[in-house]
Amino acid sequence: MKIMVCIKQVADNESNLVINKDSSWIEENNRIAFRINRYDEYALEEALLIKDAVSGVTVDVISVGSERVESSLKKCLERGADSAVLIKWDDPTSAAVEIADMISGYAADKHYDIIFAGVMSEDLMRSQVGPMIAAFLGMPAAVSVVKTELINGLTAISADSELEGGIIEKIEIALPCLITVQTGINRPRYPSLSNVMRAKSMQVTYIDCGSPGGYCGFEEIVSFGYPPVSSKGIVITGNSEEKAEKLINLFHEKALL
Amino acid sequence: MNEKKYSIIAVLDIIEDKLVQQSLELIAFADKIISSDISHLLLIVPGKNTLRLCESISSKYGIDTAAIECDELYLPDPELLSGILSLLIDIHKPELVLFTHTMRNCQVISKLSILCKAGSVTGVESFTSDDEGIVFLRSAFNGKLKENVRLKTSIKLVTVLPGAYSIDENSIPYNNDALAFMLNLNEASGHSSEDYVQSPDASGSTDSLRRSAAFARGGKNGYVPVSLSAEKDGGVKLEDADVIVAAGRGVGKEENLQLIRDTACIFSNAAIGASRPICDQKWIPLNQQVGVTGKTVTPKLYIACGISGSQQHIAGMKNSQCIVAINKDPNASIFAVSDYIVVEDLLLFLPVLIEKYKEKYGG
Repeated sequence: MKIMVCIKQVADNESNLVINKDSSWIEENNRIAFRINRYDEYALEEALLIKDAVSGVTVDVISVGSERVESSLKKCLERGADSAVLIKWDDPTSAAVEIADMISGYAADKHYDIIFAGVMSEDLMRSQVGPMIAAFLGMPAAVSVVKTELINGLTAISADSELEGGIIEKIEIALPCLITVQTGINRPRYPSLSNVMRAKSMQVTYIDCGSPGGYCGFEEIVSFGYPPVSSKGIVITGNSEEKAEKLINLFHEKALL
Repeated sequence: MNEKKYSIIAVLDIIEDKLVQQSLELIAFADKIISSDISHLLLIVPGKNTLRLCESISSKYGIDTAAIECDELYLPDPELLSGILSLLIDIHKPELVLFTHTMRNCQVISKLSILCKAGSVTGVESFTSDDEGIVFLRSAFNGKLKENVRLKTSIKLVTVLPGAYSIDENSIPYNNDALAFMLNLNEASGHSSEDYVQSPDASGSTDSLRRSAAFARGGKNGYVPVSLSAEKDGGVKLEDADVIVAAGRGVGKEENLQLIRDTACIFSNAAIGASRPICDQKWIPLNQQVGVTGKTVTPKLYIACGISGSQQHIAGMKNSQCIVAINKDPNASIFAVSDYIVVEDLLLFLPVLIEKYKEKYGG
């Protein structure tokens, strides 16, 4: 069984994000920590759990981005992935459809049984690349999945797909398929020493994406901006007892106690 | 038979043939963005048996509404729905197709983007217009930055963030001639064109729609919804509570949730809410999660305890009537939407608050 996991490297949200001069993206300086998108870490873990449980499973990781992404792909190898591919691409704000076009173009003749991805990226938060890859490859997709189980002699997955408001939809999805993973599905592992040693000798394969297909020019990012600072809030002052007293009075005025 | 084309199509969320009320916010968004009058808006109500629901929506809001009836749409099936919608889009060639921003609908518009070669944008919070058309505003980096996006295709697919627009029935123009009609897509159901109560579609296109739906359903797709389940509600439901006391990462440990529960007890009708990380830990059930992937709430009072304020959480609670935030980080994003700001460590402050309450009111 062949599994592919799609990984994105993102700027840490806690970093001090500054918009660049022409407002087209953030300033990518050395004060920003780049790391694996958290949702994708859960996606990788879900793939590795299948690899642990079923014999003959290979897990390939793939990403689209600059050379900087190699460090994140190396981390995936350290956790136990079998190979890593980087499609070289320098535009961090490409439309989801272009990224999906590149990844599905690579995967088209590889006959993956399952493709995992995070439900969204933490930077652009589009929730689109995963399902678009599935659409390009003509396979079904289940999104926002919080539980997977291989069924029917490893030919299908029973998945719990989360709807908003705490509702779970159980679905059955035939392989080959694509699954986007929500947080809470598992606990991503730390790399084992043996896998770290193994990964030292492994290389990330670079791929040139060639020219983008017929799906470019669908959208244009006009600009990035900061949200308006709109704190209309009243700061409750005093020591903690005084603050507590003021709050209790407030709740009383609102007749909520 | 008129062959009306619609310039905006809004697809309402229907689960087990019941309307998700929040998706009516799409009407408010459509009303703001529509360049012509509201009669060019079509609401889509997909499900197994939704014509009555469709009629009630149409007569309440004065908007053309179409039930798409298909047994397999009783449970959400984004694969099938996107197949059917792609055909409707081909017929009407609308400028805009609107959905509520849910993960399922992101899946639907992603697939539609490719099937219809149409640009798409998710999580839209507002928009502006200029000479070149519409610019959509959405969040990036968990709300730390905003992104302005233009779609350059003639058909534009959009998911609108819940809570970004609210529907005020009195401000939406009412079209007295609004229609409710049905597109029945069940195979070999013996239905004929009489089933269409008043169909403004060319009947030929409905036939092709039905044929294609049968094709889309052919089992070829490999996606089968099995069942829906929700976790049991513990205590007061979020949507029924006057007060929500919500816990975030700042609670630190599961046992500290008792402080949140004790705080809720000082109110006469309070529920416990939580941010996503707390639910991921399984400390609090998922149906008490507040945020884009959880519930969108509007209580009289929302007390955010140790919640830093991710965009996904804020979108779910910012329309509460009064927001009190307690956080030890004076720069927490939650304070930007708060009415009352308390810079304190909740683990030290909540016991003082509860004590003060007891001093004044006993108990």
